[in-house]
Amino acid sequence: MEIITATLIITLFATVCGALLGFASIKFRTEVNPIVDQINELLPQTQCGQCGHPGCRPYAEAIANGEAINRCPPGGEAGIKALADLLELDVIALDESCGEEIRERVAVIREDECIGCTKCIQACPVDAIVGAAKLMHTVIASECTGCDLCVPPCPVDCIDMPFVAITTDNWRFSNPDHSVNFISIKQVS
Amino acid sequence: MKNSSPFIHDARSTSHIMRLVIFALLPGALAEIYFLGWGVLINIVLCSVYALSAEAFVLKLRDRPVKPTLSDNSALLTGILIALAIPPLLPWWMSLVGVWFAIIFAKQLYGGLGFNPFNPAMVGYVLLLISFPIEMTAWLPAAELAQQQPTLLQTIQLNFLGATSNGLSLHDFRLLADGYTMATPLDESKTAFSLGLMTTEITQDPRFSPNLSSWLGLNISFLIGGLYLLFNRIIHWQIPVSLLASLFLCASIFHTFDNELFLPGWIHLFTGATMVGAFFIATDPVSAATTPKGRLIYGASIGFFIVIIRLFGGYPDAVAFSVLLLNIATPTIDHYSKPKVYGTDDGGSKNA
Amino acid sequence: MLKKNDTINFVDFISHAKFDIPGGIHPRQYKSMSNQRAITSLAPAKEFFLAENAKPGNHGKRLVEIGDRVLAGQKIFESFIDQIENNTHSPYDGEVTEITHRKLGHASGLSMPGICISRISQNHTASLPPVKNWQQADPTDLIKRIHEAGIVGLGGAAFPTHVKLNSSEKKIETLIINAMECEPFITCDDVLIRERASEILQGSLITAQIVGASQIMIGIEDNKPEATNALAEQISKHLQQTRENNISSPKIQIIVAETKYPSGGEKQLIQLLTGQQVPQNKYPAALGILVQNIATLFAIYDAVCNGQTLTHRLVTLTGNLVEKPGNYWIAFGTPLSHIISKLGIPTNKISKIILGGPLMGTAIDKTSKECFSELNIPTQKSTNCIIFNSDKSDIMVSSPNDVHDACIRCGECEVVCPASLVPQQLYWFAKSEQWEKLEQNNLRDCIECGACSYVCPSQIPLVSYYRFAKSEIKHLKTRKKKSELAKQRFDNRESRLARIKTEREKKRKKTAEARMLTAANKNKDPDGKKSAIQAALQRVKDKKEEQS
Repeated sequence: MEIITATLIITLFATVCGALLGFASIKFRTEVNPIVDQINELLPQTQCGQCGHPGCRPYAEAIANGEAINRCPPGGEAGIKALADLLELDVIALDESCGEEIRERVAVIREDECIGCTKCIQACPVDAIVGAAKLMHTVIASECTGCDLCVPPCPVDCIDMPFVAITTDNWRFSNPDHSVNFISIKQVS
Repeated sequence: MKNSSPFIHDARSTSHIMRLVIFALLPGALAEIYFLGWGVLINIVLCSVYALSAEAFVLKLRDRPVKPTLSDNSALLTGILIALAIPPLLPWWMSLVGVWFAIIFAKQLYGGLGFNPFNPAMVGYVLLLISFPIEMTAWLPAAELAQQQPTLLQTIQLNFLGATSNGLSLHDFRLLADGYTMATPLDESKTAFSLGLMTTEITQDPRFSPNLSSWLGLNISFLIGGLYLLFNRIIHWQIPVSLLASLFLCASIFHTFDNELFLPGWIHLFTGATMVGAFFIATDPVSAATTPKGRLIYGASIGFFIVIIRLFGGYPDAVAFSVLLLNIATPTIDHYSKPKVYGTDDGGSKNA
Repeated sequence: MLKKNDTINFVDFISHAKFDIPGGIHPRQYKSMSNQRAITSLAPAKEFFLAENAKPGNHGKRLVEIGDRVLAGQKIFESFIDQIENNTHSPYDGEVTEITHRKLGHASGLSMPGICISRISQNHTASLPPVKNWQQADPTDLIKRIHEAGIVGLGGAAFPTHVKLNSSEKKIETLIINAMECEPFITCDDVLIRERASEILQGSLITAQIVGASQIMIGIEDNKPEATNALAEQISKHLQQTRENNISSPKIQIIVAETKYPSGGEKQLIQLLTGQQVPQNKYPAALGILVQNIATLFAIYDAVCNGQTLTHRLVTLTGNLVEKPGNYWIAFGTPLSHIISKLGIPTNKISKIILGGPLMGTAIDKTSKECFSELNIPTQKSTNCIIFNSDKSDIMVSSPNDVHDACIRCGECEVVCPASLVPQQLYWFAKSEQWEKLEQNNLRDCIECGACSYVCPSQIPLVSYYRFAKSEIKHLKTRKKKSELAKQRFDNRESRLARIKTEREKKRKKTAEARMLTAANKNKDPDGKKSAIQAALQRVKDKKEEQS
């Protein structure tokens, strides 16, 4: 007799809890971006293809389907950490086969050599190159993400990829744990 | 980036501070040797050696520089605190276990100085108390009451061999003139209360007073050391003051409520490990709360728990347990007691 | 050391500060080294280097080329009045010899662009006409004059003054004059007040008129009794004058505060004198307050009443290697090597040179390869003090192998923080790179005063961590913005390409259909006659409908 009472009480309790939870999951639902969008937000949007996918969004979709999160060199260590935090995965080192994390670069066209073929304009994923057929092409430096995609198509190889110059506007203090900085008084040429 | 400003510095270093704390323990340590015998001195020496060796051992394993870390005096301080907390004739290997556990598990495994969430000395003490309850409550009686007191040689023999050369054991030295085995006043009163005795009967017992007065002397010596630290601004006033005030208040409330079932507040204040706890143990900077308001809450809560556990718990003294309990709460206390930042209406935490 | 009879003569407009700032430290002051001597001039250097942008972000446009002759006071770099930039002028007659980059002593060690001028003569002439009767002048004209003269805040921050005066957030009621000079070693403000109190008062009145302030509060530390008395004397004269001639004047008071660092910080000074706190993310103008350093006010007086452009400033030259430490009138752009040689400092004994004060300045350390006698880092508008130290000084001489102890959570840093932050928490978060936590704990409100590092028993370079964290957070924010923009551009491009594709597809379909139709028609009507007749009939029909 007692067993039946006990079973009924527990069942009732479970039903009530279940109902409350169900109600809460509907009433207090928050709109969350689908996971692919969230992953895409964390990627650097250079659309460079170093991860093996044709752009950042395809890679985001691949990550959502279980691909490794360490294939993005422009995102670097910080990017991997952010993805790991979002997806609750372990932080792993950058996959060296995809490339290495280097300082930001910017494309510069050697205008004397440009032949106006528009191949680089078509290649740039963010439309950072200004120009038209048979007319001068130039890179809008502020919009360039340094993805390198313009370099292979250029038939006269007139595009350089120098590092972005460090000025006092974008210079960063180093982590005191990692290094010590001194102002050397010898002038740097 | 050491080249970054500022380029001038206030003189006190960590090792200097720790050294001053050890120095401030001197009055208390001397008093303890006087009242409880040579065993205390042996323990201080042994525990210091154990502490430094434990730290050196782990540092070698961790591949860290040994000399700079040992010279910050924090391991030495931990060793000395444990030495002063344990009974004078505790066997050498028990104190070894306690000190090594404190330094290795409660300090170095967390990352060393500054990273431990719990007070290492208290962790070592509690480990010993729980593992060896009989030996850890075998205190010697005050000098004037004891049937006989061990000499230095006998103390060494008792500590290392368990018995003196003429066959006397620890138990023999705990006997009073009439064959009664003496314990600390708190221990005595707890046992007495559980037997149904009243406060007046306990305090009027001729054996209680001299025992109590020796512990009184001990606590006052630690108080002197604590005041020295306070005036030299080594510790902040918030923890000792709030701890002692809260302890006195809680004990007095219970005493007023029923003065036959509870000891008066001032006895609680000056017996057991109250003073050494208030000034030397609870003030351990690494494991205590850091904000001024947080410190007040921390100290007051420890005082409260000391009284509660002493009165209603299973152990006669409760400083170690209370401190460890509040160590757990420290991050939360710190989080909720942050000062109001310049220019904000609240703690500013709403603005990301 | 204060002389016995130099106590402050408290008259009715002098009072003690009623409020206090939290925290703060009392380091040894080292002021008596340099404030016992009168203002001295230093023989000018043969060559000057004027930087194009004194601070990151203040970009001026260069007006001269190599080989140009320039006159003393002539504008070299021009800026727009509505930008946070400032004009720069040549201190002496000379010739432009080089347009190049040079290290300016910025923490990064980077070289910044500027020009070298080789001095020809020492005539230091004014280049602007003095403003006659500034009391009747339009505030806008006065602000234009201040912009033209290239005046920036001379307390060390070098913020363009005309921008500060133009801040239109709220009507300014109170002008606070910062005469605190709370950092050790620095005495240039102290000595300037002692010798030029009248001009400084004039500058304050000009500024008060520009913004329409009804009261002036001068905040000064109690270690400057001579300066306080000098100011008091001038104020008494001024009040007497206004009473006699029945002209209005803003209410002026001197408030003497306890010597404590960093009570001279702008936010801290406002709290000290008025008890109010500048709301987070806002400027003092939100409280109707404007704060100016006394040296800036002197420069304003000079620009308005004498037509002087800002080319020189008083610099404290001190340290245990300086034989005659004191305050020297030095032109901007003077290379350190010139100062070293003129003061006779033995270069082989120098182990550290600090530009600014010991708590907030930047240091130039001796490294094995460098030679101090060739040091051509120039002084700038923000250089208010240079400290030359040997190994034997009290100033910390750090080495690259310095390892500091672990944080013992003692909480001393929190006790001294003037912004009521918890530096210890900020340190732990910066070490573990938890940027969000840092923002939640108000890292942005840290003024980098160095009080926390000063008291840390473990000698942790706390401010370095905060600087690192701040620049990382800024960098991440910039990166995020850039990637969002790149994503937008990419998405736009993708949609444009897709649109072109669909249009092309449509067109292709249309032509394919048309082709199919003509092919089908051809089948029915191989010569095309039938369809031609039909088409002609259709045309006539349409025309008829149109006409009707």
